[in-house]
Amino acid sequence: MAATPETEIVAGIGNDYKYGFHDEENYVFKSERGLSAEVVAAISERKNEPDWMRKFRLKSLEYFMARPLPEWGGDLSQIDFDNIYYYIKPTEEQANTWEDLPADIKNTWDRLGIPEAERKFLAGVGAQYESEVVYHKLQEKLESQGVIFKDMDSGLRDHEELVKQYFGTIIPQNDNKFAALNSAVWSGGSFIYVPPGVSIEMPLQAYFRINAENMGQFERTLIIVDEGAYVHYVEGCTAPIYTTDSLHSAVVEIIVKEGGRCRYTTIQNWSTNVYNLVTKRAVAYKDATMEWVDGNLGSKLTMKYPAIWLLGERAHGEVLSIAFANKGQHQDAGGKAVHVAPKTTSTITSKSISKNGGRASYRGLLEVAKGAEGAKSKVVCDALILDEDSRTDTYPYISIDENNVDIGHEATVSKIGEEQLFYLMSRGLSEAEAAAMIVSGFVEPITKELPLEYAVEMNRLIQLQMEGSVG
Amino acid sequence: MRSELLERYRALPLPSTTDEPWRFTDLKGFDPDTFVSNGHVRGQTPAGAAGSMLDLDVAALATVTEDGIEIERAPEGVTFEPLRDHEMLGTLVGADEKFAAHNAALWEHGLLVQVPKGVVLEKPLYVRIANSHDDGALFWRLLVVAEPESRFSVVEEYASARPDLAGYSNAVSELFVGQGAKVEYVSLQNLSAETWHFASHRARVDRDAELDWVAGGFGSKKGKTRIQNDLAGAGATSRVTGAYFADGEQHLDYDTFQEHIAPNTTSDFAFKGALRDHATAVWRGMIKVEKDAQKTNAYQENRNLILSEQAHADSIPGLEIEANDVRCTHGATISPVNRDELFYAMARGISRGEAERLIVRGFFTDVLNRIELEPVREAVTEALEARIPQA
Repeated sequence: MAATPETEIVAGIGNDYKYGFHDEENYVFKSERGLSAEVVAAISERKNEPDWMRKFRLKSLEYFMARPLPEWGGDLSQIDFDNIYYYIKPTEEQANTWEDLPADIKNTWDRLGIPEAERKFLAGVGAQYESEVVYHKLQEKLESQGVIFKDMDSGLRDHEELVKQYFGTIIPQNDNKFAALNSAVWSGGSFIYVPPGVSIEMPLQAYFRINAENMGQFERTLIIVDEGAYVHYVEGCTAPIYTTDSLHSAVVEIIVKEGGRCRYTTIQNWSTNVYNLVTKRAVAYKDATMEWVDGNLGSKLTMKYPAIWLLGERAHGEVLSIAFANKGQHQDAGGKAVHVAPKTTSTITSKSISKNGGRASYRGLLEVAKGAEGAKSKVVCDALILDEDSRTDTYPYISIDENNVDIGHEATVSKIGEEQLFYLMSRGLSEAEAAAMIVSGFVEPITKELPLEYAVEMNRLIQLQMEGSVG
Repeated sequence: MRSELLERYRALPLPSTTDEPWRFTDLKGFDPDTFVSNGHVRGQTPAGAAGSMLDLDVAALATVTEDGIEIERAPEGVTFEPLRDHEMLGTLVGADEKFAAHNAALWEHGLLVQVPKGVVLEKPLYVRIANSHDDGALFWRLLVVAEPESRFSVVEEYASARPDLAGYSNAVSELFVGQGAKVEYVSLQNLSAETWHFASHRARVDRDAELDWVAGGFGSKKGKTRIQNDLAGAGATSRVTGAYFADGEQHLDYDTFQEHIAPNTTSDFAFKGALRDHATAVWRGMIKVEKDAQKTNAYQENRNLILSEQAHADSIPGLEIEANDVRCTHGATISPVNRDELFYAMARGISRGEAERLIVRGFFTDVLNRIELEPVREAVTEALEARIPQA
């Protein structure tokens, strides 16, 4: 089936969102709209899951139903939970060559550039379409080293003991309302295990695509980086533009063991009708490093605060967050660092831009528990506000229970400097080009941390967001 | 009217730690209704006069206790008298919050300070608020109206008659700083460590007016001090300097709000505190810039020096910005006494106590330097130093 004609896409986009196309639905299974114990049990049954997982899901559903919607953060009152499709299975089998996919789905991935990226610079790729990972591939060399990179459902099937040991331990099923929802209806996502001492040089990438209207996508990711190992995991996501809303609510749990390092990079580019309510948390043991690089450009409302629990001595955590809130968008993003062990260190750097009536909020937590002697942390939030209709907020919570620590927080809000603009324009740049260049410079401390290909992508997305804006 | 306010007070639940602003201030064990309001304690005589930490040459002097307000001196041409009904009363601090409602319902002895247009007072106006009854509740209400182009200082000092006096202090002050006026407002809180203290201070600063505020927190058991400045007129400026020191089991809570309503306004809040023993402090600060408040320049800072293992500080700065042509900055730090500095001083034969004193003094220097009234600066400096035990 051919994708929607280009003209229709452009009409729906407004701000040049080039991923707004959709395929016709040709699915193996689509649940009824709405959520119930029957829907949850049906998902588990269809996946042929062990009994403990079915029970886990049903209990999680109870927690979800019992919890009120959070009253802080963004406006969640418009989410119609009864109108969402909680599970859609697009294909019968998972493919490990792109050619094995149905033509329209393959076409989607081609347009998103995933197969090309895989050839060029990725060590492994998972591609999730609606509720299921339809394509998965890991370089054979890594497989032979004992690296596991599968979709979460296959992970549960093939490595049940390992999954059972960690699943839901970093983010308990009743952690918050949306973690409970994910725990009830999760499908897809990645399961990664990196054996001791194995360093995966090229990134592993997962790509998440919502296609259907009113879709709810609930991927679940679990990453275990064993002692002295390293992995860089990258995720991207897009969706078609519809007039009604979709919901994306993921749970990501990461364990970084002694001396290990994990970097998790997100380039979130959902269409502006997607609620993006995600819980991400990592634990870092002795001398381990956990880094979240979190870019939020898309979605209607994002509420996401990647967290790091520094559990072992000298563990280090880093959160780099970029948020761009354009017309109709609220990016409520940030990061959390919880210092539990001595001599742990963390840095949270947030750069946000609001434009055209958009609202960017930094919300963070820095906590130092009793006993985390010698902990050091620095939180820096800078916000750029591009016009008088836009809004920016900073809510950095700091709670310190240990006296021998060094904690600093700084935040600034400013507009684009007129001198900078004037200087660039005197060099022959248009005002819009100059403004875009200043914004690129503003986020550079974060984009420079990205692999080249993603840095280029991120800059391109920012340029797109800046189009039509005047400083 | 008072009975309606009392109803309102009763209808509002006592805040609990599930209410966000009260998350770090647990009022468990506190029941405001067990304190005897405004004196009238049968068979009890007041505990005597409360001491002052200030040595001031004042233009006006008033003393307030649960039993009443006494005006001992007032300058010519200025209103400095017991507060009665006033059109501006309650317009800045209403009754929508439990403790403000309690005050609105029960205050009896308040003070009105109204300085006419263009009047400049050299010497400060001073009021002492003294909790004097065991288990008494003192509801203090201050209304300051600075008419355009006036200039003066108001100093209020909270104290207890005895260091072990148990009490409840509930204060509301409203300040109107008229066009082009300049007001210095000093609020020193040195209540006994057995006193619950809840205060709501709010000022409205009009066009080209200037407010310079000093908040000193040394006493009290637990409670909350709310400080709000509305930058309501173009060109308005406010500066709030806070210094606090808590020890023993004290818990201090500052909740500050910088509300920029008009364009070209400036606010500058700097709070520094030192904590020792089991003392805890929480500081919340919010800068809000409304849509029309272009060219706002807002600054907010909270730094805590932790002097013992068990002391604890929470610092919650925040920004909500709806205008784009602004400059807003905040900073917060929490740190222990720098061991290198301590070592350096001790290696030069300075005792540990003296070295610590030097470090604390150094820590507070910049906030103390912001205090313009010299006797106030000296009193705050002394109060801070008195808290560090001799070696």
